[in-house]
Amino acid sequence: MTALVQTFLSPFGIVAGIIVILGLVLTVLRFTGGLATVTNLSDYNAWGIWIGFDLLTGVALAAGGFVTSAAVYIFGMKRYHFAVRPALLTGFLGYSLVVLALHYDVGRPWRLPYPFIIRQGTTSVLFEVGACVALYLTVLFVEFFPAALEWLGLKKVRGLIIKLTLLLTIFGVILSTLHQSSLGALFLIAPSKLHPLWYSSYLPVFFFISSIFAGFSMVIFESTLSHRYFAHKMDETHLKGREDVALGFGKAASFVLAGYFTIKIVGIAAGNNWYLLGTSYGFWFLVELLGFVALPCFLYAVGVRDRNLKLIKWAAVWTVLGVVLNRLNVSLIAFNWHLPSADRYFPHWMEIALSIFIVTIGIIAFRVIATIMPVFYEHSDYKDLH
Amino acid sequence: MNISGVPFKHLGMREDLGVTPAPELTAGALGAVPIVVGLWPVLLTGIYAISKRKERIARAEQEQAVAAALTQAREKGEAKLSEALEKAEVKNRTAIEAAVKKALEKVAETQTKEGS
Amino acid sequence: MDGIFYTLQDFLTYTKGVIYLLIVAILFSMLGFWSFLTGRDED
Repeated sequence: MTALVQTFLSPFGIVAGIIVILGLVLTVLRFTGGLATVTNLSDYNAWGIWIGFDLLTGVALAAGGFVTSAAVYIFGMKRYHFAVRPALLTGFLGYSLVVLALHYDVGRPWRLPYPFIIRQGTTSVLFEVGACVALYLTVLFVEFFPAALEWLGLKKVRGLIIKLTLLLTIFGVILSTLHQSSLGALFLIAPSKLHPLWYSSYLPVFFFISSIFAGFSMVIFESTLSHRYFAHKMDETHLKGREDVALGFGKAASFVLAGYFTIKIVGIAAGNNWYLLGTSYGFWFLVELLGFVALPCFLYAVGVRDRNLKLIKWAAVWTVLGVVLNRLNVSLIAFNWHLPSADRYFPHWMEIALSIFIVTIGIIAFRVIATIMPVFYEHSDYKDLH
Repeated sequence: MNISGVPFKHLGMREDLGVTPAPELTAGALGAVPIVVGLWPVLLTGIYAISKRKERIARAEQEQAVAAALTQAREKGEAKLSEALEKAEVKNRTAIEAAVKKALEKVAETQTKEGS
Repeated sequence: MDGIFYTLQDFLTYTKGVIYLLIVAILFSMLGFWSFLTGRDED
């Protein structure tokens, strides 16, 4: 009991506690007062940071789950096996928080199941996003469930699910390809609202490819944080494997970033939008492309060549920031660029507070689960049974 | 549908929106969905099969290499053993011959001593 | 490079031409980048 009290009174506990209490108050406010009470959303700006950050960025950053399990189970890179569970946990919590945030943003959240049972709307990209995210959340849950089963000691059920691993992984990659790209496809319908340097018929491809290196970078980033705060929970393989993960995933991320850079250039060429690079939005586009794609690509490459773990870690952070920036650019900053500043959107502080609240819940959940379940170590009953 | 007696620009509405219908803008992306669902399983299973095969071949090669190294070591060991045995035999024989010779000489000596 | 394209055909001819040149550049630079990335790999 004292350990629990200690956690509550620790600096993390106090800060998280304040955020959670504030978040709960704002939640009541949101659902009793409506969207206008807590947001700056309007008819012009129907999607704010709950979509731009919590949904779009959340989904991109939760991609570590499918890239890691694909690397281990499809590409056969067994040396990263220990990194699968933490990545799956991050992914599962990430997608859960995405669905949670969706409940805040949508006007009638109790109608969320309607596309599955009342009317599908198969010509809508959003229907496909919803279906894929719902299915993928289930896949992630099932993929992570063995950890809970090991904690509960339910060997037979656990064995059954482990047999499904390859199937779930393949299904997970399919679903991830679909919904990561479809989140980009959501913006295809608004060529007049999204600045031409970001609007492209290749948006689905851009979103999917960037989710891959976002996933690699998040795994490296999460591994860095976990080694700082969960080292006492880690077994030998975990402690020794972080260099392997950083080098391997860093190399992969670097190469994918390079490919992404080239297709972004092709995107500009396809629209013949070179002249736009000289405008102020063009400058901002170059900041994103050169500062947050080309730069981390190069930093990763140098870090991998010189086996400089510190550089790789910073490249990972920078890449994650770059993906956040890209999603915010597409959904909020370069979106509605035509509108006069009076009609442009800036989030209400309550929106920001609720977003922070949702992320905090995720961190708390990660802490709890990683502490009580075999995420960073192999349960003694199941050693070498994978 | 908007109808106006004056150009839309005078009403603050945009005139550069183009004439592409909305479904046409998204049809391409939506059309790619079943292609992914159809082809990804093939590609991914293929990659899995290839990587499994490579692993199996690598393991087989490793086992072969270990077995070859073992047989080599054994043969070397046996060769060394037979060499050593031969050498020991030769040594033994020469030692025996020398001892026999000495004994015979001694006998001959004692005989000549007794004889004289 | 300046001036308006009056037909889609002209627009695409120009942009596709640029893109073909880009493709060649991309292939060579990706090759070079790969060797840079794996330059100091131990095997």
